[in-house]
Amino acid sequence: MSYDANIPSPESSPSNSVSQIQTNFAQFASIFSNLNGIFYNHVAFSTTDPSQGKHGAVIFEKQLSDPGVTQSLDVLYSKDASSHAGTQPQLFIQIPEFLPTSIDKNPATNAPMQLTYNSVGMAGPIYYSFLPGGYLIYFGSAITAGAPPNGTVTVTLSPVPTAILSVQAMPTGTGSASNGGPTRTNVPFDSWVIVNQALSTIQINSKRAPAGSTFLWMAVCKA
Amino acid sequence: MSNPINYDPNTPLITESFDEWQENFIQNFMQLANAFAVDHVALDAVSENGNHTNVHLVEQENPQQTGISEISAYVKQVPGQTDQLFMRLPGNGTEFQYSNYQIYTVDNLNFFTFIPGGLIVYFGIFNYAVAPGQGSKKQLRFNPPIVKNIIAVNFTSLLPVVGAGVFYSELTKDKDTNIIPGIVINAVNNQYYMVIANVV
Repeated sequence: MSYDANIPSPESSPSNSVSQIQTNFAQFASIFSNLNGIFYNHVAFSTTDPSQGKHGAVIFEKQLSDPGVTQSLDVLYSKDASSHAGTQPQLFIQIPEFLPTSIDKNPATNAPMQLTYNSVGMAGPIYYSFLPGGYLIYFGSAITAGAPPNGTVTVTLSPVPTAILSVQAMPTGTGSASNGGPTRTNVPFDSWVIVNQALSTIQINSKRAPAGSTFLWMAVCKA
Repeated sequence: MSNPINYDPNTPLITESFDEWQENFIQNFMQLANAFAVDHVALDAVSENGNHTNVHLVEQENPQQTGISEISAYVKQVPGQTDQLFMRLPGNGTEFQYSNYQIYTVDNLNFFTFIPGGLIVYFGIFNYAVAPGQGSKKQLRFNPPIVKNIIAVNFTSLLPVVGAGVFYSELTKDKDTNIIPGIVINAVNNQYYMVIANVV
């Protein structure tokens, strides 16, 4: 028996309605509950818990379309998003439309903005997280090999992104003396990067940094 | 004019007979079902009852209260923009703006997104060869043009570097809007760039 919003029916006696009324009350108690300390959305009914009615978690059912926003509110929801990794449900936000303005003439609509990605990678040596808009940010450090002017290191991004959009690489303090020169405390700021979109690689190069020089790098990609 | 259904938490009264409280019961059960069907899987659904379909966060005037083990997510109006998502940390802690502006496509070389704290990140490729400017100094115009303060700037060359590194300076703030329209770059070739700024 499920929730029935049309009870008790006029032709029923109170005794005939008891079971359905209990079902209705039980449905609310079930929804506002937790199991073994794990909340399923709403904090349980309680005369002593001031948190009743609040959320212990928010579980989003995947939606097939955007809600549309015309009032003074934002909407959070889940729907499928495509990336190089495939199609998975992600969390989106849609806000009220406010463009164009006097300083930004772009007539952009209030298109939904993707807030999440399938995973984050914090194990290294290639770390990654996500940025709103369906972007991934990768970062880490890499050590060059080879003697100047050929000091270079290639980083392969994983998970594979759709496109590499911007890359930063910056030498850090101390390089090695493996090329016979003195240990550098300030690797020359003469680096550049070569991106191979097909292979999802970033080649970090330096004209004068000795082998063993450490570069901190960061890349923003389309997921 | 139809009679609106109103939830009555004080029904039934002990003095009422069944036929008197019957209608109130129907009204209450109906109102509970209708209200819960907003943003939730309906009460009479086969499964997933109580899960959320959407979460509409109605604009609030003030930061919302949080207990010592609670985080609050809510929506407030951002001046010059619209309603944006905010969060507040436990124990009525720090409130921060989570979402910002409206992400849209600029072109195939320049992009932007937001990070929590009311910040915007501009990134992409600064096409030194074709950018407008004077002499050897070229301008990178922020798009959208909403920068109040530049917090961090980074460049990395796409080609072997000849000579010195990259230098930049802020363009003069617009006197009417107090907006920094962009930066002037002194470089020798195309650059990947990343700029973090707080915005209007």
